[in-house]
Amino acid sequence: MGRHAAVLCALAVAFATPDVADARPASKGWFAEGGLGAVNFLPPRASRGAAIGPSLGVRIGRDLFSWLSLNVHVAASSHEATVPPPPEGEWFQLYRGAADLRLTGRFDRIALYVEGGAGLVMISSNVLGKLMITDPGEEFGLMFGGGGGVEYQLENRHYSIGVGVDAFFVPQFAKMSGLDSRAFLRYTY
Amino acid sequence: MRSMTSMLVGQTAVVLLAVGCTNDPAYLPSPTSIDAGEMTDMDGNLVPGVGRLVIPVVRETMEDATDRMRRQAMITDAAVVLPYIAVDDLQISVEWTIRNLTAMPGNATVQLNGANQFFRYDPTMLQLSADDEAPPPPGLDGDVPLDVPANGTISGLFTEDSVREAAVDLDQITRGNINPFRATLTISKNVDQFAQLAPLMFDMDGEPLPQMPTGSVFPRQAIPAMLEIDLVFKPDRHMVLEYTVRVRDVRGDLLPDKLLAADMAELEPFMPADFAIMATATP
Repeated sequence: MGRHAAVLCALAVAFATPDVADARPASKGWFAEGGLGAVNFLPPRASRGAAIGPSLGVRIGRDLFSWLSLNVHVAASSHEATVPPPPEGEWFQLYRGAADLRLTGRFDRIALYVEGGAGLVMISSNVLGKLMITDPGEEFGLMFGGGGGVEYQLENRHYSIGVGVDAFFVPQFAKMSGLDSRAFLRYTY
Repeated sequence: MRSMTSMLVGQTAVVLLAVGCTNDPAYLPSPTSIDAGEMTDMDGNLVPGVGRLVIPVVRETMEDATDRMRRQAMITDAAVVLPYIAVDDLQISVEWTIRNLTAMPGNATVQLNGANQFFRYDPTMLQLSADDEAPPPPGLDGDVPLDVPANGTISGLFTEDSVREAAVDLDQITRGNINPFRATLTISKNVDQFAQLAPLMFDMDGEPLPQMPTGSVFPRQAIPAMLEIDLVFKPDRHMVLEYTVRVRDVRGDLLPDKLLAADMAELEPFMPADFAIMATATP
């Protein structure tokens, strides 16, 4: 009798295993993301006028589904202007703000995403006017962008870290384009 | 942990906003490069190259004019006239590059002069001594001999401090009647005020006489900003100077959006008078 009871208990435990929760569930809902990285401009013209520079960005979003989220993000980067002197050694800042959609595919603790959206870009000075990247009085431009990245879910279900690359394109600034590469920390509420 | 993350996101947003709100510089490129070192005058001396750039500023608004008149009414001395744009309203620097177009190393000097809304300072309009061998009147800044390598390029800068000093010196010389040598050789960029002297007079030999204060005192808010940058380029062989004027609008509402491409109707017209001194022997 005792032997049968032990066998039944073992079978019950064995068949109960599939109902155990995932080891690393990721939270869903509102999230905030902060990232540090670098922005590099792409040829032909913008890369001649500006050097690679550090960037800082914040993203706030909402997971509509586990695979789709809606985000807004702002980012700033600082660059040395490499226009023919004078001026020499001058810096300018590029501020970007956009709304985008992100598609995410999760594979256990790893998640891959792609995103795309549109927004506004603001340049802090007219120093690139020397290369006719900006026209007189031009400060703002429409921006289109997209990119992708990978996230790693930490033990704490609210936190993940990741790396990502976003390309952006500003038609008004002489078709300025660049790559924003960053490492980020995400907190999901 | 959650509050720490929220705080981090909040701080990052504040940093981004703060960075975005600083007064960013505007760059005014020289209309043309200054080519010099080839032409000579009738005496065989090389003719210096001269460049002039007027900083565009928008018309004074009714509110600004009212505020200026209110401050003016608090000054009892009629000789002290407040300018539309004071020395601390614009931070100006001038960056230049010299290209030696010859295969021989050479020397060059760059002299900074200019004008505010009241007067233009040009040392060639001054005669501070009747003595033929007296040193020529000084420029407001620069005139440092520079070595330029063969087919080489050098760059330099009149810093914001230098141009601020030049702006104060310009007002001291023109409205304050201070001898240009004294004004340019003393450091006045941070003065709170300066006293006007009696106009420069000369003795029988054509040498300047001591000056007495008139009693008028110009406070810092009465010192005008430089609104015209004049560069005098003196190379000893064929060279080209290019420059860019960098302006930070501290008040935030003085520079037009399109800068040098702005419509003339949008800009405040200034007609500074040429300042001149002629050393004449007084019996």
